Amino acid sequence: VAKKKTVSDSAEEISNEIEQIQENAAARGIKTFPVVGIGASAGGVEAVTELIENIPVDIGMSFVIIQHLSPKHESVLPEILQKRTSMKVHSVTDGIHIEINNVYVIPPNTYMSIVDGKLTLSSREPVKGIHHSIDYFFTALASLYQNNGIGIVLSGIGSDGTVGLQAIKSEGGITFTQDSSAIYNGMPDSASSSGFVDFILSPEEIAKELSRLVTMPYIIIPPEKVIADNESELRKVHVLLHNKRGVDFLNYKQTTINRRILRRVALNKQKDLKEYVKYLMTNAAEIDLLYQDLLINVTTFFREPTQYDVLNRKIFPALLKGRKPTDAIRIWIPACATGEEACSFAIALFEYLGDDAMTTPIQIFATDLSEMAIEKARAGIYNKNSLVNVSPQRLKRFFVKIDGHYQIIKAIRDVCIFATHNLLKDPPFSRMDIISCQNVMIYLEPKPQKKILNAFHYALKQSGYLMLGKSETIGSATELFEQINKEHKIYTKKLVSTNLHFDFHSNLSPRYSMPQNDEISIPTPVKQDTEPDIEKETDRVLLSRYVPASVVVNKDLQIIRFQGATANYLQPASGKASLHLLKMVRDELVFELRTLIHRVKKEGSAAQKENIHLTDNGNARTIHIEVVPVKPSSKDLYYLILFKEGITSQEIEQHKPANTRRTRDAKDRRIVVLEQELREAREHMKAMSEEFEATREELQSANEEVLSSNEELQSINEELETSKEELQSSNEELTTINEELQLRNDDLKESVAYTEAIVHTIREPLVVINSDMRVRTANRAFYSMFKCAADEVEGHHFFDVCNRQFDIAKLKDHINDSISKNVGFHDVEISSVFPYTGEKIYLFSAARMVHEDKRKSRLLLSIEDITQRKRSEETLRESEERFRLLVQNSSDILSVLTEDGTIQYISESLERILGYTAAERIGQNIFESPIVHPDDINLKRKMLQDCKESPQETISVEFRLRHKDGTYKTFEAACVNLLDNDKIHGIVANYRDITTRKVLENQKEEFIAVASHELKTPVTSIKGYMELLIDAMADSKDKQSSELVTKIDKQVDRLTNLVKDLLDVTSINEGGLILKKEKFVPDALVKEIAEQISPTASKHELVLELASPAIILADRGRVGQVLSNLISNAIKYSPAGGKIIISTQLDSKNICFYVRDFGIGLSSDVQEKIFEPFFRAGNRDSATFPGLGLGLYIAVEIVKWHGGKISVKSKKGEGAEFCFSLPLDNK
Amino acid sequence: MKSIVVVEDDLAVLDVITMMLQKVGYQVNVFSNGLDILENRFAIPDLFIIDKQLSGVDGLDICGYLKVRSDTAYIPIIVISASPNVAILARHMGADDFIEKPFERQQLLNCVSKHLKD
Repeated sequence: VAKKKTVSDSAEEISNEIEQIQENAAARGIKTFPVVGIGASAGGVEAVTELIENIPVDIGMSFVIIQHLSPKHESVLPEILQKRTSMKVHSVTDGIHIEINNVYVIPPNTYMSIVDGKLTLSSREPVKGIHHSIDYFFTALASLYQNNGIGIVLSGIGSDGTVGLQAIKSEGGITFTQDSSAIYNGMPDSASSSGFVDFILSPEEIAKELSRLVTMPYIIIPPEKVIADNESELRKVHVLLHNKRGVDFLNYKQTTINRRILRRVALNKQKDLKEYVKYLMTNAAEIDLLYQDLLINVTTFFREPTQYDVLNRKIFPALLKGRKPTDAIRIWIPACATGEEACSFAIALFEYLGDDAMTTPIQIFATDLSEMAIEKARAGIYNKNSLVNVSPQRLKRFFVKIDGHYQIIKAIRDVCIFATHNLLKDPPFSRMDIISCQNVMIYLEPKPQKKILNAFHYALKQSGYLMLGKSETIGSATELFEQINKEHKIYTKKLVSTNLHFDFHSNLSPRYSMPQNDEISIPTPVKQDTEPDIEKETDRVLLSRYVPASVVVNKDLQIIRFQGATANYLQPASGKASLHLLKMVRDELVFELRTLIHRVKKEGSAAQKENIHLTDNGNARTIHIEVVPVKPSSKDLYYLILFKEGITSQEIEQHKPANTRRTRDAKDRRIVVLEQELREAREHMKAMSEEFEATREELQSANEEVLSSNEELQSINEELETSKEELQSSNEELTTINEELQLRNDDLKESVAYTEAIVHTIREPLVVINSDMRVRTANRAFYSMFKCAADEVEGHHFFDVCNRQFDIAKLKDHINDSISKNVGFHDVEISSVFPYTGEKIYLFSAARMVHEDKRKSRLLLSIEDITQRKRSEETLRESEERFRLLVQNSSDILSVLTEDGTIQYISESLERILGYTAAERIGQNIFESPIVHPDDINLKRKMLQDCKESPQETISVEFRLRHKDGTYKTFEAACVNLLDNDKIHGIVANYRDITTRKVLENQKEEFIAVASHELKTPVTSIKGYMELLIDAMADSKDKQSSELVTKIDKQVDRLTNLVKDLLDVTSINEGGLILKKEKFVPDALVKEIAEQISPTASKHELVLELASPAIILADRGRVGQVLSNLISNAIKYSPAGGKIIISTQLDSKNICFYVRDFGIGLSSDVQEKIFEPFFRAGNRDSATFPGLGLGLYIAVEIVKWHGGKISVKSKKGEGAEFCFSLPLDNK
Repeated sequence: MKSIVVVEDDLAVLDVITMMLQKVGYQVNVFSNGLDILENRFAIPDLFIIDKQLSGVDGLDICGYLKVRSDTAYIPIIVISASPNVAILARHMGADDFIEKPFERQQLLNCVSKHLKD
């Protein structure tokens, strides 16, 4: 018993162990998530599809689908599945890594296996019958993934998958089969009848169950950890098992047992072990299921082939040496599972004995705890998988094919006696030549191991052999056995007497007793069950100790039960192994027994025969035999045969001297009686033997006949079997193909519907013509466009339909040509006057619909009405032509430039205006091969730069371009940034030749200059005369005239100013504003100007706020001109009068002049324009504010020429503040 | 009494200038053609007033001529013109002052008296 650890200790150990497991798994490239193997065959496509489409995308498992597929067809299963799940579906390629939440499908004609988290493929040889590719994969999955392996068998014929599910379940994985929803039940039924299936569900339910299972601790937490946390709960499970089944699994290795218990927890949807214990207590059936699960043991034939070599070479010869031909060879195979090992021994022995096999009595006792296993063993039917180590010769000799499985021949079955037997509880067998107990010890704790070895020691003959499993030893029992073969663990019995106490009826030992303070109590029904058990057990003990040796036989005289030491009376007869009483009983007793039983049968009451003489090794003795009929029920009839010991020959000898005479008389009498009896018996025997001989001969010949016909039948049967399998496999493949075809057919139907929908809704008329020119079908558009009904068209000659409107020579030629040459045509334009539709232009296109039979080929004709399009195209072309002409004849040059100044397009007007052809300039860069005047090239650069920087604005620049003849012309360019415009992708520049305009402008300015100059001269003289006149008038008394003269003088001043302004503007435009800079004090200038203006503004008060003693260098007259202009404006635009504030301020670099009024103010849109020439504030009301509008423009220019700035702040109705600044360090 | 020579081809302007100057007591000799000056048909005055734009000889040429003649080089010359840009040219040619047409009487008189004071 393992020493008890504290919980925390083991928890730590366990977590280390888990890490170790995960590391190992990682090292082998295995990701720790469950892998689900899905096996399917005929009818499986639908089931697989249904299963996969019900699996959540992020389930946390991966799926491998093994579908039996036709080797000759490419499978479309992956495509079919991909349409129905969001998980990625792969057609497996060799070496592909398994990823979580992915689906893998086996390709046709391969075997697939799984190694280190990778799927591997191997091609398969063509064989007759069915490939067991599902078993092949499941077995690999089971050994690699263990409790993370899940197997599902869906619809299919045959039995593939059954062995695979067994492997998965025995490694701790979980298994499913499809329920009655399967189209073909062969595979699911075969699997579920094997007893290795946990769930039988529909595909949809399987999907649900999988989603549930993936969250179970069994799948996600390694079992070792759960076990550590739940020791007390596990103990309760053990108690329940012991009570119900009488088997104490605590004697077994706990890791294996516990892992299997946890598996049942997961399968039963119990939250944890605690819940499961509760469930177990109320559900007796579950205890049975758990019990069966715990007993899972998978073996194969000739599991260790070399072991059988040793048997052949050493053990069998030793056994047969010195053996009487009638002595039976007795072999015991405890824990035989489903009997493979027992049969292997039998086969080996048969082979060794050769022809003697039939005459040598052989008894192989094969026992196991599991009734289910024993039942299977008795049936002796095995599948191919457990026969891997069986050579074809053996297969042929010792097996018979039944339903795709192999049944061991009767001769072998006859020598094997299968029985349920608990090694730890039931008494052992005796007088064995060989005990082979393989892979049992490893499941047991040391104490029960020792107990079993004791039993084996007892059971073996003196020369007997014990064989253990490869990894097992006799442990501490070296005093009992001696090892003779180390490799194969073969031992012989040591001749020691063992004081063997068979404690095979032990009840619960104290360590299994329930903790007292535990809240769970064992339910009462279980307790009641145990009472009679004890009684029965007691009876059995008593019986085994005090009752005489006896056997129970049924009415056919088959021994059912041995009781007590029957060895003295029974001796198996040579020949076939049999439990028939008369064959088992010693030869001397046969006759007496037969007579006795005959009598009992007849009379119905017990009878006995006394003083039957027996001789054992020369010692004579007498025995009594009693036969008692036993009738446990009305139907059955049994006989209990009791053997009682009489006196031995020694006793007879002892009595001899005392009673010689009496004995002699008695002897004589006895002899007479016996002789009489002997005579009778001899006669009886003779008659019987003659009768028997005759019957035997008859039977022999009949048997001969039966045998030969049987052989014939056998061979026919085998042939049929093979053909059946072939048919079955082709049927499977056909079914799979059929299913795929069905799905393809569905797809096809869908696409037909799709195509039809398109054909019917399409606007272009379509018509299909047979090769005989008759219309097969046409679409709705055809009927509606040509105003005809289907029955007028279909089946009619194409050129006849719709008032023969298609009877056009050109179309006819094309169609005939197309049919004869078997080619289509494209976009044949035909214009004609059609009935109903009027003059139309149609485009005809035709495609050949090729058919294998040329005569059945058709022509698809599509008709497109392009009348409207043609007209639009015409209109478009005209409009394009018009625009082209417009651009060409435009007086402007239009060009599109790229960002770096390459000409993409330039209008043809270029040639007319500058002499270059458009082709000459397109593609040129305006900077690399410029025609711009060298002095102006920077202007052009700036234009492009500005345009790029401000995409919203139109940039205007003037520069000179060189004509091809070398002369320069002045152009005004306006360009817009349309780089972001999808249709243009460039900078659009428009050049206008303004050379003539420039000349005219110059002339105009010259004229203005001359005119204003010429105007000034008379104004000078008028002004002079005026002043002289005012002088003269001042003395006169004519006041009225004097006032009038003064008024004229003022008007002359105005005229003078206007002329001056005009002249200034002219100068500015000529670029010729000349500044006469001098040093002066600005404040003094302000005062001076204010004083000059003040008298003319009687309504206004000029307020000066001067704080600057600075001296600046500027044109005093011009600055004064600006000031007086601003002040005059302030007066002009505040007609109501009021304050006008004139101030100066200094900052570090500038002096600023402010003129503030409180008049009508300026709106914001006006503010932007007031500095432009000829602009006048006030819009239509401007009549009230006279002037040419040149004043501010001149002011702006003067300030600019000084390097200063001018600005305005104003609100409509609240007056305005003009400000201009001049730099202080102006040199 | 100071004498002033005025050269001006516009007779009205010549008349006005003459009247203005005479009124304050200057003796005024007038010429409507620059040729008279170049051909020395004038008496050397205390001040010249010359219009730039003359028919025939340009006023500035006369100015230059007078400033190279030793007997007239020291005599102040006032150039008058309708074009303000002439001012700089005039100074280049040796003119002592410039008055832009149209001018006020006081402007003329101030300028004249300024140059005659010395």
